[in-house]
Amino acid sequence: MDKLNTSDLVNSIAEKTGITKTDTELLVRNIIELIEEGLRADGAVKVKGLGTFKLKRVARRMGRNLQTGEQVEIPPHNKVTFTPESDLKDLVNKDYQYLTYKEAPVEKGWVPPSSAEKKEEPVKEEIKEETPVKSESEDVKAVPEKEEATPEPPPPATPEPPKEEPREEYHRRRYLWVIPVAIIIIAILAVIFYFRACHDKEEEVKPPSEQIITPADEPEETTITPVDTIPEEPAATEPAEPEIKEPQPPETSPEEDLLYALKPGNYLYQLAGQFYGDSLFWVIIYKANASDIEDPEGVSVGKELIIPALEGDRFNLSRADSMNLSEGYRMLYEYYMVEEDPRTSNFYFGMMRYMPR
Amino acid sequence: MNATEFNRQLAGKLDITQSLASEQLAEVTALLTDLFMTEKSVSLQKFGTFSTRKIEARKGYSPVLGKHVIFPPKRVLEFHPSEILKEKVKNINIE
Repeated sequence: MDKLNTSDLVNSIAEKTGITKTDTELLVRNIIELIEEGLRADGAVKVKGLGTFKLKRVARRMGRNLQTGEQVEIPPHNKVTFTPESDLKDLVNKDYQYLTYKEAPVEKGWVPPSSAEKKEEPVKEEIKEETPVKSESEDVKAVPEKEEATPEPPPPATPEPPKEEPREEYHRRRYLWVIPVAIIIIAILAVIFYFRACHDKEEEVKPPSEQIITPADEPEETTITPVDTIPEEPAATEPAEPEIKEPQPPETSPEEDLLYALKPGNYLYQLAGQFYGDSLFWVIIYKANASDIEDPEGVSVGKELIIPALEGDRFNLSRADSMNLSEGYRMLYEYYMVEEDPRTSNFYFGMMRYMPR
Repeated sequence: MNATEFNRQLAGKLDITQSLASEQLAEVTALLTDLFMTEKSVSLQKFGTFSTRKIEARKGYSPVLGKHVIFPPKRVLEFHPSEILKEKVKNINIE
């Protein structure tokens, strides 16, 4: 990047306008002088075509001497700030002017509120590969459910789809190689889980009824969510649909623990979606009510469950929240291990994932 | 000091008409704008340096949208005051 000094500037102005160098230099000097005077007079100068210079008061603070490392007090002082005019700002930024924000890749525990557009290949791929895993628990469910559940925007999306977006928007070479790699990894994981599940039970593979599982944060967990289908209550399945489909996380997470009487169509994961905005958090509900629930997949209508409050929120889990999640996963891990369920390992991963460090 | 006042005082200093002063100021700023657009930096003696800097795309939270988003890259113009200017304005009493 070229750097110009005062005389370079004066020369090019003189060349361009035909004013003599002496006059130009005088002009530039005077402009600078005037800005200084303006700052001194009332702390702010507006120069047309350039921007605003302002003085800002900086409060007293403690600093450190970099050589000796000892603490020194930095007395209060003024500093000069410069805000370019918006026209100038736009001109400087003209290369990137038309770029807009893009939704960020999913971060740990964070779910993009609108994930309708997330239905991309990686997700679908996962749906296909993973469905056999949960099929056994959904056998009871009616087949039409499939159509109803499919359009539902997956609440917690896989980390991969959003990563593709930046590529379209601005060509970030960095992302380009990540995407294929991520897709391949997902595919491999999905295949592994598929075969493990098939190996464990020789059941015939029914058309999967539940799709809500796919959008889990990571492939391992995708298989967890459907667990809550209530085999004993076929009646309960119908009313459940409209609730599950709510794309946005509805209520805010409860401020304090509350008691909730189960209605027909309530599943643990669906309650978690309703109260926390993230159905994966059902393990917290399970943990809080573990003594009351014999079978996490079959909770009976009318039972009162404690919906524990989160200390943080689902984006910023507090330490206690992570602990609860981890603990919930651990309990379910033990539960499913006794059952010799093929999904046991998922809960182990969940436990490790939320274990506070 | 607003733009009009600045122009008036500039004309007074150079002993020229205000319209001429405004023209000449426009020439200077136009040239500066051209330089900034071509990513050049300009240091003015005893005053400071104007430079442009590219801010890479970054993840962040938009309070307006209430979402975590990727902000696109952008180029910004910055002014770094010289030590001399810093020293001069350090202890001015501004209310």
